[in-house]
Amino acid sequence: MSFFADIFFVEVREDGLVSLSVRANQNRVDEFVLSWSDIAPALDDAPLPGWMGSSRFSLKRCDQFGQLRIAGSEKSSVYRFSRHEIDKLHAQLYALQDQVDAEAQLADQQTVVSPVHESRKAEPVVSQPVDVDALVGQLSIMMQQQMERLRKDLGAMKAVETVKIIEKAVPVEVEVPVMVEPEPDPFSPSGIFIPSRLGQGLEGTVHKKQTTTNSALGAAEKLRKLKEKK
Amino acid sequence: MPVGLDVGTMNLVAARQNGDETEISRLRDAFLDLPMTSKKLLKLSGTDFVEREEELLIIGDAAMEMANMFGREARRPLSKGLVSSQDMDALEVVGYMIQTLLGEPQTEDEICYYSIPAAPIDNLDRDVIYHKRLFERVITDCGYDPVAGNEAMAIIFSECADEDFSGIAISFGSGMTNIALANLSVECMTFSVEIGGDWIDKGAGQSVGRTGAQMCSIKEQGIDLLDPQGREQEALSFYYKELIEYAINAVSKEFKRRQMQMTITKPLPLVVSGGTSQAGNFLAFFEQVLEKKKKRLPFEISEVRQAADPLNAVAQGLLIQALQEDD
Repeated sequence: MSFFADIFFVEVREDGLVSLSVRANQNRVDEFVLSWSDIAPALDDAPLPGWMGSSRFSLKRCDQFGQLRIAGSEKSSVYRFSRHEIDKLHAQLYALQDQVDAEAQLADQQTVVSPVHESRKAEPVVSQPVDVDALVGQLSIMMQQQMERLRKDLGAMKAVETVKIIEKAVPVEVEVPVMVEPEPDPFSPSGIFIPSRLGQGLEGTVHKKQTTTNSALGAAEKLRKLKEKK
Repeated sequence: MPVGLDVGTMNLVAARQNGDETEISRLRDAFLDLPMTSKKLLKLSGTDFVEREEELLIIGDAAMEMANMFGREARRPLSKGLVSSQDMDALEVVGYMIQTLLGEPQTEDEICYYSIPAAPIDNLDRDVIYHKRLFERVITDCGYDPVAGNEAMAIIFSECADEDFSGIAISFGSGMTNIALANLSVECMTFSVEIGGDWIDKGAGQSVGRTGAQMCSIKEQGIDLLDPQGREQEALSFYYKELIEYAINAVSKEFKRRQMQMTITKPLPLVVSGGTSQAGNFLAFFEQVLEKKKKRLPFEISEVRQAADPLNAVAQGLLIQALQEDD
């Protein structure tokens, strides 16, 4: 099924009119064609409470939400969105201002008596029926081909190995260096770099606080006896 | 004689037995780098410093004091209880600090028990392997035979001798909070949570528009958790409460998660320790919070008490363990 990601879509048409699409819900988009003079009165960075705009196009902005009203020849459409979305529409329309050129102004004078209002429904994508059996068949053929190829490769590798063994069987006197595997360093787990001789190059004086506290010998003795009991 | 070394986010503490006394050496785990031009000033003020290539380093408590004077923040080699592998600069300094604290070994193969935190249960991406291995190497380089010991278990060894080393220890550190449950000296459960004193300072600071360092200073000047004065202290007490609740909930949750593996038959003492537990009336505040949560704990608590010396308890507990090896 189609999905409308944006709530509003605005663009200036070649004839200088502004096309505005509003996502009414996930199944419907309403399209309007408006003149710039209809839109301009609604654009204000510091909106007053209540409706602002022309009789054809107006916006209402409250703290949490906003409303959009577009009047047609027969009926008016009122939409309610979050304040954020209405602000986004306001910004998009504001940005169009520069694009509305002289030609648009001309078209503006000719104006459209009533805005074109058209609703479109999202059409579900028609998918081809999937033949599962045919797909499984194709996959098994591909797997068989792949297995066959692997078997051949393995056979070739074994053949090379045999040749190598025959070659090794020829008695040749060579000095084989004894390779001693280094013992794993228990202080260096693989993949971790641990620096050594840290701080050995520094020289100077540091003041450390020194005190005395209760002897640890009593507790150490108790611990030793407990361990002996066990 | 063996030595116990507490490697903490805020302090490095070494404990060594000398006759009938335990000698404690402590160094604040912080440093400040200054340009060579500051040398004269430092000499005049009698501040100890270390030279490195083209800079001067002030290490320990003096770093915190001088940082305020220069309008800077002292650098901390450890963050959230663990050392960072990325900051080689800081690693070199922490290596030097440990070398200074331990000094030369007094006998051949002298054992050094050093503290490591348990892996945090609230951040499974962090483990303690690098931290453990790095300090193992630093201590080896100092000429000692290193043995790693859990931080909270060390508190059990230093504070629960009268209960045959059975109890629950909560070490409220600067970088994290470590928890251990032991029965007859056997470790039953150890884990950590990734919040501690630094988290309190940062959170409370953000709430009242102060820096973490400023809140730390307010905290160290003295705060009564049962009677906080002013916005800052009140914010600190809110965060203290949150930290304690978080730790108690974690104990309950972890115990239930692992209960198949252990059986606790008698009430256990609960010991709180660590630098963060030094705030005024911490014990009473902790008990207030615990009272509301007690019913949820799956075991009985015989007594809640504070470590006799919260800053040094971990080092002392490690020394007790090290002394066993020496017998």
